[in-house]
Amino acid sequence: MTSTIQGVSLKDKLLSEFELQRSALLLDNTLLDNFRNSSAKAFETSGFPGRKHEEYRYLNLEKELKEELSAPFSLSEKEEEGFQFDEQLLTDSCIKVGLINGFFSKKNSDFQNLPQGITIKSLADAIRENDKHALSVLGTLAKPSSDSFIALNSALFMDGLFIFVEKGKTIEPTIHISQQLKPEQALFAQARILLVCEENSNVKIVHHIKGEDSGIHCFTNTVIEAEIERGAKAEWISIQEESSNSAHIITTQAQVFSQAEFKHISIGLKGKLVRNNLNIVLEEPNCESHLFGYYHPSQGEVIDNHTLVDHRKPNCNSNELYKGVVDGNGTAVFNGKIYVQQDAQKTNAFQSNKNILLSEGGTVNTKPQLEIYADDVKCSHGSSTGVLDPEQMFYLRSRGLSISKAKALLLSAYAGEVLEEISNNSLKEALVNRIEKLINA
Amino acid sequence: MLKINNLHARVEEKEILKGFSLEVKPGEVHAIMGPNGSGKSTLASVLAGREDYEVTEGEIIFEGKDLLELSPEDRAREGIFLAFQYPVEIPGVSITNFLKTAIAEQREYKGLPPMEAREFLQMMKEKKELVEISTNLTNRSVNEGFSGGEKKRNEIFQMAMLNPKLSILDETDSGLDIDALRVVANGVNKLKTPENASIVITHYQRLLDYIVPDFVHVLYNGRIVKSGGKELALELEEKGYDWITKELVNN
Repeated sequence: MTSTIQGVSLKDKLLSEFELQRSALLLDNTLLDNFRNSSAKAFETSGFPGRKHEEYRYLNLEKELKEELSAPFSLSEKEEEGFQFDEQLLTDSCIKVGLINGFFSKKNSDFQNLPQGITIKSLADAIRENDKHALSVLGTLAKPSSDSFIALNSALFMDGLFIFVEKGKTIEPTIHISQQLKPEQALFAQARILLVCEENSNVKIVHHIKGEDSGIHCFTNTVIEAEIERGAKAEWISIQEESSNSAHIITTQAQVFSQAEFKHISIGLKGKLVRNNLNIVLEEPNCESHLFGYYHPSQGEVIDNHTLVDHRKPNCNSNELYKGVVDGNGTAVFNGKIYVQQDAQKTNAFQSNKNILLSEGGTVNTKPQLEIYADDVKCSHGSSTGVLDPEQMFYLRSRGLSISKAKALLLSAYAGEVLEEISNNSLKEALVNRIEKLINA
Repeated sequence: MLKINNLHARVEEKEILKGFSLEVKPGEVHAIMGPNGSGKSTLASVLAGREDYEVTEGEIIFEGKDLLELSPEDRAREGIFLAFQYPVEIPGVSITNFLKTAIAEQREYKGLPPMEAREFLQMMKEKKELVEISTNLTNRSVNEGFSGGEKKRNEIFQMAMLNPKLSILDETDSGLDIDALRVVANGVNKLKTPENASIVITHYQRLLDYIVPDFVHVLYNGRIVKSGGKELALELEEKGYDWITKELVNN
């Protein structure tokens, strides 16, 4: 697609920025040269996906990909000022990690509780130091050729995070990443996060997209690559509260190995446009993934969840539950794919998507897709879209509850099925309160 | 307390109540009996304010107020309680949380201060004993996975907690074995005071062995065709509803 202002498209603008910043983009590591070039090429070939692109057909990206957007190539001291974590979402003795405009902010991070066995650092630093773990994962899970936003991110990211959990280590404190924008102009931020969980390690991460209504239209393109090695357990809680004038595409590409477990909980509460691409590859036999999602687009908002679980080998389990509430003229999209490859006998794969529309102006597009090429599998999927149950509403009202209280009680219970998957009580409580506020708004 | 005059109501174009009249005074227990399709459940639904029913004629005055002008929640707050024939399951909403909210809403309507947590728990404890309901049950989601008897017991428990002026028991005996019936009826009897009243809607006489009515009314084809004392229920049990219809034809 093209959005042309004064004859220059955003795509061309970004590609010329790439040319100008070529040497800076190497991050002092010539090994990156090929990767950057091929990524830029891939982006040049694909361009931004238009409405005819099957994977992006429900999103009006044209409106968000404005000409004035430009990618940041450094983080200034001024931009690091005034950073605040969302205190209510911080869990006891968590490790605080600040991410501003796609850059790691050491000044706004607090590692005093960082135990042995885990490394968290700027991704740019890891690349400069030629960290073999970081370089072995970068671009191998999220392939630039597979998606134009991955390609763009791979060409232009200047920083992000590298999280490395050593073999056999269980990291008790939660890693809390607060990702924010401090725009002085319209930013097209490119954040890259790598997570490597070595064999039999265990880690929990909260990734909070904390948007502030700066009045400046921005776009963030975050790419996360997660490698969950044999016997490891990783839990990733993604909380999206993007600002009401910004768009965010978060692509998570996880690869799960034998006996390992990846649990992902996505809570989408706010943002002009939020798109989650969550792709899980069950790479080896006997591993599992658990995906849970709650999304609540309100007036003028779009929350789009695309998930893919790729069963490649036998004896793997995956389950998935995504529930949404659409308020006002909000739009929710759910597209959940499950692939069961020929080799993946004895697969158990379950998927369920439920939606509640609170008003007639809202839209839900839901599309479960199951593709099975093995013959000895147990798979199911289901999706439903409806309104609040009138019988339940009447029952509650007949006991004296107002319509709004009855609604709140039913919707909290509805969201509760996803929220109860969050093991940390204080975080769960904070999210329950936040969702109740949305319901009562 | 309650005055129903010449009530006509329909659902989906079909007239079901055709001139129903009834007066209930404080302290009274009225039984409404009738064959299937006579309009018993419609009466309960109209009193509670279910929106699928349209009242085309007549009036319902409750404690001096025009009941038909009130929303279902305001009727509850004014003191009307319907024990449902088929209580709906509400997964994820605990009975405790539900009742806490209901009581808070009702107290706010009456201009009373919120109930203290301790007072609420004390009341829960007392009323649980009264209707012989276990904590195990009240800790669960509303009616989720409950047996028929547990659902009905939960209705009476809510009635005990909300302390209504007028209770309407809609076929509370249906689907209950004799032990459950006894517990439910016992709860209703213990909650009886000179100030409150009940309307017991039932098809069978057996519930009235346990909840003794002051008046028995026979509902047929949308209106009351015969009223009497508790002995009328026994007569009905003996002679069946055919007796009434024959009598009507003869007159």
